[in-house]
Amino acid sequence: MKDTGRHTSRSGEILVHLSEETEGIIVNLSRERIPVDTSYNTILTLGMQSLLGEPVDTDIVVRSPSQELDHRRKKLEDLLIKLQEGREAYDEVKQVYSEYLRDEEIVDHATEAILEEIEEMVDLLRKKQSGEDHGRRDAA
Amino acid sequence: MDAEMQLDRPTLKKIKVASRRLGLTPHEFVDRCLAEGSRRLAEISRAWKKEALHTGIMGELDRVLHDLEEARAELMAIDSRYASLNFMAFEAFSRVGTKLMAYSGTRATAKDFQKRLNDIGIEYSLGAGELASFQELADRYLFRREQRK
Repeated sequence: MKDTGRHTSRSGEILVHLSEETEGIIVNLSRERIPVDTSYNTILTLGMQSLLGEPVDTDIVVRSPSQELDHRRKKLEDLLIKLQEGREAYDEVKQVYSEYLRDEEIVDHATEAILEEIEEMVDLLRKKQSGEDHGRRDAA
Repeated sequence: MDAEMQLDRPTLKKIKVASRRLGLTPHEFVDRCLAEGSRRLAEISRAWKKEALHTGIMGELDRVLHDLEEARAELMAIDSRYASLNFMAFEAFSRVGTKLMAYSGTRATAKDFQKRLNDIGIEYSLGAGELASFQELADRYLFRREQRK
């Protein structure tokens, strides 16, 4: 498909030109809180149906307000479930973390205590050794 | 504004046939379709808004949308807090493992001194330094035999 310097590739890519008016409409619609599909392909299909006198299929563009409400409620429901799961996972990891910190404190405390006990034992051994040395000297 | 679109083969074929029928080049036809489509889209959008207002659904739609946005933001915050805490927990786990290994070495030294004292007739029993839950902690942090209590 060739057209005044604009080409369409075999893979179906086509360069299109949007007038300022068209661009403005699309931008405004995208900003609105109405859930219309503003993708170029949908707009093209819609325009083609209209230009060719075919019945315009509005379902491809937007759900009815009541369908949209159901859709949003379902989404909210799913999201609230995910949120609950997220909260539970957070509480669980919080609990695990506090257990790790508690165990770290236990190990720190035991290490400190055992180092003091080693010092005490070394002291006792030294005392015993020096006592024996005195004894030997006295005997000599 | 120029834009690039990706079209499937049936659509391209339809464009070719329709443009020939209307005496337009395919690109002129596509440009017209986009202009017409956007106008129809604006009409559909206006009608949708009217229906939503007329049936009284608009307020509820906005409220649910607001709840959705709040829930999304909260989920993102929780996910981020979870990731951060999970990382801190992983670090704490590794730290306890390392400290436990160091403790184990110190404990072996202490046992050696204890034996030497016993050998020369001095009874010495390890007090607070003897970690009663050593095996339990080693299983958890060194051998990962137990994940959590």
